Amino acid sequence: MRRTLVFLAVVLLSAGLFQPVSGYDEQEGGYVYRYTDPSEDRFLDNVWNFIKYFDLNFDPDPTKKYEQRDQYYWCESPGFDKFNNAFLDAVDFAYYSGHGSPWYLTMGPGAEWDPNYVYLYGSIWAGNHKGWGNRSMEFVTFQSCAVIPCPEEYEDWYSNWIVEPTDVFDGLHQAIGYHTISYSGNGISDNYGNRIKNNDEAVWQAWFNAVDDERSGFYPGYASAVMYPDCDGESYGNQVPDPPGNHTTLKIWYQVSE
Amino acid sequence: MRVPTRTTAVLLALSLAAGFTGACFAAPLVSIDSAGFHSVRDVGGMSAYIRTEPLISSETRAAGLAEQLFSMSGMDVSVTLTENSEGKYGFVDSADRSASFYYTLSTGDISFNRGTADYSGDGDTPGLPDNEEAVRLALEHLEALELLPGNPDELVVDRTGSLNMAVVREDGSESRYRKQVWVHFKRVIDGIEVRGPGSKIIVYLGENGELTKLIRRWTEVDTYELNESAFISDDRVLGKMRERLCREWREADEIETGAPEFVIYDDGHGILEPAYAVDARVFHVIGGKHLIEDLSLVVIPAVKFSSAWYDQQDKAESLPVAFEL
Repeated sequence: MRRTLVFLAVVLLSAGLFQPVSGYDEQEGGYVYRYTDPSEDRFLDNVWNFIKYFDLNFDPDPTKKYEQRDQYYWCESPGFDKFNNAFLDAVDFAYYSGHGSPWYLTMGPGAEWDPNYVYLYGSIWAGNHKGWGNRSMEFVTFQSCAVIPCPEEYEDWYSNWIVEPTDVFDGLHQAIGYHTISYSGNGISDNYGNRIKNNDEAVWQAWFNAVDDERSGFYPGYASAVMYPDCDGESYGNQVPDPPGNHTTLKIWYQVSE
Repeated sequence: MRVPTRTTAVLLALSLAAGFTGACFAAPLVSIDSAGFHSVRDVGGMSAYIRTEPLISSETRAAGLAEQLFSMSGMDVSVTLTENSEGKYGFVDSADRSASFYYTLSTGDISFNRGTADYSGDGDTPGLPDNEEAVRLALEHLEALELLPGNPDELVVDRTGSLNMAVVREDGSESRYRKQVWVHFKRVIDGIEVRGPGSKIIVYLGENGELTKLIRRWTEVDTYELNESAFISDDRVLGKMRERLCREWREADEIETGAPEFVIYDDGHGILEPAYAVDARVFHVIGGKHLIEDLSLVVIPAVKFSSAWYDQQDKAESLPVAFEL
């Protein structure tokens, strides 16, 4: 039996199934703040202008409910925390747009589940669902205010991301967004999607460049990105192996105005 | 003409609804402090702006500029531009995927990054210039690249800053590093500030002041005088601004702004036109549990027949679906 397992492992390795490099047959997910009136719909447009770059497969086959399927959902907290393995953590690249504050996401007043917000400290960990990355997710982007605090605002900018057992980084490579207030409803997600999909540009750098491309004075805010240090130079199509789920090391890049 | 001073307009939700949307059931409480409002007629600038030929007007010239930029930043890179969409070209270096160059044919927009691989290690970057030196070096780089604006007097330092990095290690130790500095130039035409994503140059500098990143969105324009009748009347400015605020921030609870400022809006797609802008403070109470404050640049056209793209992104062509657990 043991020989058989070893043989299977060798076959799988030689077939390239454990290679770290992934491609665009991966799954992407877009998550939209659920508004109550369509007049304030920039969050919807933000997400759509990113995910439109990918060949999305919303296969309705129930046997593939959480497998091999892209996602485009109105925000609901269970998809981010209690059942994250089936939703956010089932995709490789997740894109959220809505209101935010440090380690905090709002699902929107139209969200049907209570609570209609998600705290990234403590609440996303849920038994075997753990944080993000133990299932599939490599990259998550928050087009929202201040979800990724930096040392300018918080001395302890890292603990909520990596301290077990309630941390976010359980295999996640990079989390990207802003550390300041941010205004959306601009060309950033379109620009970012083009950079990621058409040019395979390094991920957090593509975000910072897209943010600066749109900059007008302070707006749209100042970008930040936390990551497992070995993942610093990754693009969506050229990745290193998944980080361990229990690491306690982290790197952050952030823009500062003086 | 000035709107009467000290006129603080506080409009309740339902009165707003009756005023301009007809369907504004729970509109935010909007407060515009109009004291100090100066219309286009007070400040001049009754002009139309017609763009001229982009500084870099062909793909070939753009590729040459890209190689010059990489060379100036110490990188030996052969650039082949790929057309991402009509008139928009991109390049990413396969050896360092954070090294990139983008160019837009219609506007001449340039977005260059020499890559962060050489800057990602522990430690402060040696020889980073201070703010004053950074401005001087940024202008030197622009001059050497022949990328200064046609009228350099329009180029005004808006702000400076830095790109920083911090790490926390397995042993719990933490370090913070200053990796690059940046200078953001804005544009002022005949004393009027240009707002919006266009009309700016951002220069990042690294080790010993080397150029590490450049974003140039700057459309050269010819200016023509417009007749006063081309502009919306002063007494409609506040109403239109309220309408725009209410539409953009429909779900907010309160919005506060100062007086609309007369500006030139550059939509980043080749159109500059007279406009009014406010920096709005927006307050949300989410689920009765959390207060969120946003800061928002809200701009409306000052001309009756506007051609600038204020929305800045395409409308979604499909809707998300609800989670099914």
